[in-house]
Amino acid sequence: MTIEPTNSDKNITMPLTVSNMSVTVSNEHGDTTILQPTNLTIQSGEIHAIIGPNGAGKSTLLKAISGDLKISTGDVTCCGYNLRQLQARDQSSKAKAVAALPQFSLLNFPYTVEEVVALGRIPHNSGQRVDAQIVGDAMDLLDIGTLAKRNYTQLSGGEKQRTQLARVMAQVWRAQDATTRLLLLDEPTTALDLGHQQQLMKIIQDFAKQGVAILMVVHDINLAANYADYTLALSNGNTFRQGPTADVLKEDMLSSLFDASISVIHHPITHKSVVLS
Amino acid sequence: MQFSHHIKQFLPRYWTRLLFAMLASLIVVTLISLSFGATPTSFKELVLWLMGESDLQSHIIIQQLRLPRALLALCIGSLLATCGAISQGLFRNPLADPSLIGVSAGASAGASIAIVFLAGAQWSLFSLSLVSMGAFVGGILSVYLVYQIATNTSGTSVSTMLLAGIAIAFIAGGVSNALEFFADNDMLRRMSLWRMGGLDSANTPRVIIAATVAGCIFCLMPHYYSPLNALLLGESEARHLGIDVNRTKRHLVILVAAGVGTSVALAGTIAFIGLVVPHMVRLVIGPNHRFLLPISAFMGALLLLVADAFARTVIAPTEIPVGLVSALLGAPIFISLLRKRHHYGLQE
Repeated sequence: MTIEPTNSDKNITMPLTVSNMSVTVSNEHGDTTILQPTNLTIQSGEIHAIIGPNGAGKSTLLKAISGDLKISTGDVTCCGYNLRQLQARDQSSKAKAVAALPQFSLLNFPYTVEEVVALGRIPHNSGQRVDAQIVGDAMDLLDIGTLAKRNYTQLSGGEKQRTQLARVMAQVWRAQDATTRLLLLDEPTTALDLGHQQQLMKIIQDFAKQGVAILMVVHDINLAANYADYTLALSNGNTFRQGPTADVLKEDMLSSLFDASISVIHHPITHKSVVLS
Repeated sequence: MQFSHHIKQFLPRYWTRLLFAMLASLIVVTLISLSFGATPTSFKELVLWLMGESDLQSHIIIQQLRLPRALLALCIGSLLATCGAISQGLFRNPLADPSLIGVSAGASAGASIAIVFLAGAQWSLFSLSLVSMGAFVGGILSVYLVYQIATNTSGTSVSTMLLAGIAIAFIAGGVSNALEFFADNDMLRRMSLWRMGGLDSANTPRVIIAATVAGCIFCLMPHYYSPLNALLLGESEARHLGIDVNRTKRHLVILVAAGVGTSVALAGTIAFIGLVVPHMVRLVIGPNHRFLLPISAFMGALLLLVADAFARTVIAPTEIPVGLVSALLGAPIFISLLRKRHHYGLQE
């Protein structure tokens, strides 16, 4: 007699496997496939970037992986949870391992910054003391410790963004809370000034070094060039190019992807690619 | 800003003590309210009643008339404020009110139908009149319709619920108006009296019903503190925090429908408490439901109790509808809070 592997021990070591996943939405004009079959695998500690022109399906891909959009074909396994077989009761244990930062925040209730970050600990039963410590550490890391008691609704756009990021990082903060951890970020640097952009990307890099897998949608190609290990370029819902960032971000590829004249030069100090348009 | 800081620091640390203080003050205010009424009752008579040594007249007045009424006011006030706080969280809108999902309008229509078509029938169930039952059924039916309209295979949309609630409220209002058109004078008077709301029909069975529903809601409420806190972030954010959003929404709609349906059936439509009490509490202590829901329940109970005591005494022996008093008492407090909100550092 063979024992079927259960939902939670399949691919337990892999934070994310996407195989042949497509997304189809239906409206009054019929069905439209907004994301063609896509494959993607992320190992612990890797940073993957998704790039592409507006409407290419970047956010769709991220939303399908995070469970906000229904997938039509293929399979997605996040930290051992197959999205197709995910039961409602598995939601809260999945939330211990997978956190997602949305592109826009709708929060308009007068929480303090500290309370917003503390919401990230809802899936865990780690106790008030541990949670308070993690919330404090996450706020310090994102440079919002001094705003702890401020009203979230009164913050600037950048401060709100950093608060939300602190919240999702607090959600997957400790390695002991989950075997593998995955952080999904939809344009994490929107509304941030250059200094905070750089600081935030460094924080994300450090977070990845602690074993968290990171998948992020970025608008700014140079963020992908500087910080992502792998890049997936999408165009019209199709995988346009995929691979190690340095191999993907080539002049001819970018020019045809964005339909613009783009030059890629070599950065004299970081030795990474710099994309100029 | 300083003030709300102190409150927020103070709340978690002294929460148990605060809960006891709120309960104790409710008991004291309830006792004091028992001496208010058309026949003034002295404090001495109240103490004698407490010791079981009062004369027959005071005994009847206090125990059979005023006590059930005070207890009903406590239950209904806390139910309305709690359900208001839950709906505001559920709809992520600090101005939402349980009547937005059609409960009040549906209940009014149900009551009107009972008054007009079942005028001859006299039977009752657990001392609930046909009108009360009509109101309860009408309220629940409207919520059910609103919920069904807003639900499809991918879940329930709260914004569609708001709009469907408005539509259903219009239909229910149309039914009420049509019935008013055909009703005779006696029916008309009963309808308009019912709609003004009041606690004058209080008796022990009604108190038991209200207390049972309130007790159930308060026992279930703590399960929903975290889900409601997460829902304020947005539905997909709550889902990413591991909350079963559709199930939570369904449960909360049932809780609100049961709570508001019961209070409308027992005391008519008492507007204002469900909308303003939670809003006032949130202005002072912030939106954390762990504190917001219990404090709202306490404040709602207190406000309706005091309002009812006023309603009974201001132009005694005539009574003013209690909804009128709660609005006239609460609105100035609310306006002063709104004017001062920058002092609390809680601008929205």
